[in-house]
Amino acid sequence: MLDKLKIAAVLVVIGMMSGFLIWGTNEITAEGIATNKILKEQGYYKEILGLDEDFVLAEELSIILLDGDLVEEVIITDPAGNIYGYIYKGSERNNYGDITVLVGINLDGEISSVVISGTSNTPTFVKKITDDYLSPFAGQDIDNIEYDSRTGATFTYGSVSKFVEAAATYYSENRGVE
Amino acid sequence: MGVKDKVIKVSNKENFLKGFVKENPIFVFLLGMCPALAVTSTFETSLGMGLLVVFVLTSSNIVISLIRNYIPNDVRTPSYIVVIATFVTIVRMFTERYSPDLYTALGVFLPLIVVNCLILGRAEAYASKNKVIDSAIDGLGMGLGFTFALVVIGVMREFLATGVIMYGNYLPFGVDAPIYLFNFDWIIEGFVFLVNLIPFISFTTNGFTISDYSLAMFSLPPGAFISLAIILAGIQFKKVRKEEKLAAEKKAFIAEKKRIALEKKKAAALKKVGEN
Repeated sequence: MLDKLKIAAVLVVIGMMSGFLIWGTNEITAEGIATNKILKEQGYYKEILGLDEDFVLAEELSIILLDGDLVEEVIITDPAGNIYGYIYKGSERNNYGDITVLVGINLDGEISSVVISGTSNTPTFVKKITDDYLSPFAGQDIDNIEYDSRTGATFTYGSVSKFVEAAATYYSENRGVE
Repeated sequence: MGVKDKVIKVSNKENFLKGFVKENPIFVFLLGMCPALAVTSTFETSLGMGLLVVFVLTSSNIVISLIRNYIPNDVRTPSYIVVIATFVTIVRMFTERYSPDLYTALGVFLPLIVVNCLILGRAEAYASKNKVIDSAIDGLGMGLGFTFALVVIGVMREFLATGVIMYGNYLPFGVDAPIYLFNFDWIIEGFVFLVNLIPFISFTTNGFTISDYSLAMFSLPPGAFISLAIILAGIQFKKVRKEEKLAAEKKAFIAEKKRIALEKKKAAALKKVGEN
């Protein structure tokens, strides 16, 4: 009995020390990691809307959480509050794994760009879609989007086109009249 | 309770250097093959993964050696795993904070350092039986040997896949922007420059760049297997030749000994005949 208690005590001590070290490291790095994520996301936003790298976005962008296929809408503004466009984020799990897609729509109702911001889908399929099938979306009017029929069967492209369609629909219904 | 200290009669230098060639984790023991195949598509990711493993291996070896006499034998392995997982979590957080591109490039293979059999293997085989300083040297040496092997594979794959070796894409230390550590086009340009020094000869590359003729397959998983196979075959070839040379020397030595013994026997027989 005493032996078992001793084993338990040793394990508790090791676990506590481990937890304390991880907590300390988290305290040191958490803020920086959050900043990195924001900068990365803002980098995507600028890339999607074709803004310069030096362009300064508003410190706090307006994010609207959505139901349905899309997760959120980000309204891209500068510090003065001028709107430059809208980014729609869609995320789902398809048969290849997880995928997150960002769709940018400018104030003229055209798709600025479509980016796969995170995915665990098969890298070869993702690379093919990224290299060859995302750029044709740029410049298309949201009322008349052409999808590629040859890649329609792949799950990665299926997710992308689903989110593009959802973003276009949401924009038409909620922002198109602005 | 703890495992009794084992007397190791090797010098610190020998202990440190053994991981590089003699007991190299990848090229000799084939340990930690998962990252060796998965993250070695470029020199930089290989170096990054290697350095993270050096930190985890050295730190875990030190801690395990320090607490080895207090850990009950029944829960030895889970305790070691907790120690290793702690350091991997710490290293993961720091990588995400200070080198986010490397963090993204290594992906799932960063947390998977926990189950790298090299680290648990050294904890079990060495740190749990030796003193702190020896364990630290062992961890450092083995980690650097692991890094060396990853870098060799990474350099080979990146060079064959792109014709260049780059730095600064994933590791942001020491450079503001990505730089070329080596570019095969430099050799071509140098050759063209030298040829053009010869009077009446004008030679141009006509826009030839090595990247147009690189073997992209080497950046993909099959390229990892092929690269590793080529390196292992080279090592094996050298090893076999060395063994053959040793065997031939041994054979020659035995033959010489036999000849000397025979001559001695003959001399003794002649002496005996002479006496008679």
